[in-house]
Amino acid sequence: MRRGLLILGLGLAGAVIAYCCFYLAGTATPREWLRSQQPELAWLKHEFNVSDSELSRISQLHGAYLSLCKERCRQIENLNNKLTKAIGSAAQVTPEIEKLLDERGRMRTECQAEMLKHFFAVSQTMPPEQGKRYLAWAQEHTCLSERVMNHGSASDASHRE
Amino acid sequence: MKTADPSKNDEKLRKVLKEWRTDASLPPGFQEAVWRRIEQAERTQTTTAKPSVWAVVADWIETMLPRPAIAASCLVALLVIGAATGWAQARHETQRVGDQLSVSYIRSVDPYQPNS
Repeated sequence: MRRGLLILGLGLAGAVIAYCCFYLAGTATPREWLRSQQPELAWLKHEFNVSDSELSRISQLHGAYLSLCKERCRQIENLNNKLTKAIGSAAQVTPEIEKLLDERGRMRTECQAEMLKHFFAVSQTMPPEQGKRYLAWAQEHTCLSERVMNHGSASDASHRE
Repeated sequence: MKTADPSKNDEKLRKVLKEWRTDASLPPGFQEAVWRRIEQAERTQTTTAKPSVWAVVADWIETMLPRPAIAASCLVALLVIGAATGWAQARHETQRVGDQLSVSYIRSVDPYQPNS
């Protein structure tokens, strides 16, 4: 019995060690991403086979884009507040409300255009095939793909004449 | 040294047992108690005739596992199971972190993404 238990114990210990070795080896890459200063960009590097020099350029583009993006967000937020006030103190659509809506719309369009410009710039930094893939992926996952329009759907019964 | 003849000893013992008499009476319910114990012993024997799972495993560990071929197969099987489980778990974890970081990247560049 003792010998059998010893063999079983050795087998179980071996299984645990094998589990740990394979788990650690298999998670080396994601652990490296999470350890980096910008985990998202580390993941991007891996996902789109970006070289170190390309990643450094993408990091610069990313940083520059984010600072301008934050400024635009701040401006849209200001317009939102003004619009809320204007709507709250009016009984109908006033020229001021129309102007604010127009301005906010333009800001949003500018925001999306800048985002798209950034995606093009990043994609051009990548190897051509990966750049194409990145563009398609970014377009699919961001607000640029506004596919679902409630009023555009043929099956929308509420807007049938 | 010469030992006594065993057949002579047996003869003596038989004689003594034939002459032996006792006046001590049996305690009340002695016979019933004896039969009860016999029945109990038989019942226990019947129960142990069907071995439990643990008994089977223990017996296998004791008798089969020490055989070199079975021991080697068992060790290899346990190592493969451990390695495969670790690898599968690692792939799952890599996928999870990748998904999380891709969402995080998209949120960082697209302010219109929902927060949740």
